Amino acid sequence: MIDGIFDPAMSSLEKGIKNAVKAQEVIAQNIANANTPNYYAKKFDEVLEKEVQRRDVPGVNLEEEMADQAKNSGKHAAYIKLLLSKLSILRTIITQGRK
Amino acid sequence: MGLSDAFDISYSGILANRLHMEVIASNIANINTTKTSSGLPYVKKSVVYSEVPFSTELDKAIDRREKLLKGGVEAKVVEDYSNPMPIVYNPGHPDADERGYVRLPNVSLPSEMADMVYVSKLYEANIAVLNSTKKMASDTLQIQ
Repeated sequence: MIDGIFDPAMSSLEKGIKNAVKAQEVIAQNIANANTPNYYAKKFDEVLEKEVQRRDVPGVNLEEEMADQAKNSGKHAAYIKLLLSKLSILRTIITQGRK
Repeated sequence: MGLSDAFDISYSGILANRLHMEVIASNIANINTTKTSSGLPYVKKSVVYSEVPFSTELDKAIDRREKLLKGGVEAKVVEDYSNPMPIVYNPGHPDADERGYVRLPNVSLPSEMADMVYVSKLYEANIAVLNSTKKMASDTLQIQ
């Protein structure tokens, strides 16, 4: 990262996108294993940046997973939008030299 | 870890659910099969799901060459003897024994129908996740 051009918000956004992708994988794993006996549902922890057990009892709550999935995909879209607008601001600034 | 792994996980779930659907179809189709190639009545088949876990960082460090587990689910078909085979008195049946009793398959139609509805909902859930992963992938391509 060149600190002069790209500010910390940019790397935060990148991290947010990466985490959303990992969380999507964990949700996909939970829903794929909804019928697996003795399967403990997992949850992606954004602080630890890895999956952790969601509950002490085995089982997958399908509604919970679908809600998380919708939330996660919205989050991902929002981060992408923000990153795009940051890039477009940068592009505007960069092209000012021509004028 | 990546979106393509999320695709593979949902795909493994869809495959497992489809296998389960095929097994339910076979059970219902054979609900009256009193003789199979083994000479016995049809035995109900069940699907056993098992998790394919994610590889941990430790697994990756210990053996780099070994195929890394990317998560997902595996389904296996097993013969299910948990219900006894009903024995009915039907002397006119070609497969009846000398005392006139016929052994029927241990398939229960209501339980198969309930499983079918549940599995088709799970299939839909996997498709929904696959679609949202697809949307995430196409959103990611917008970055330029």
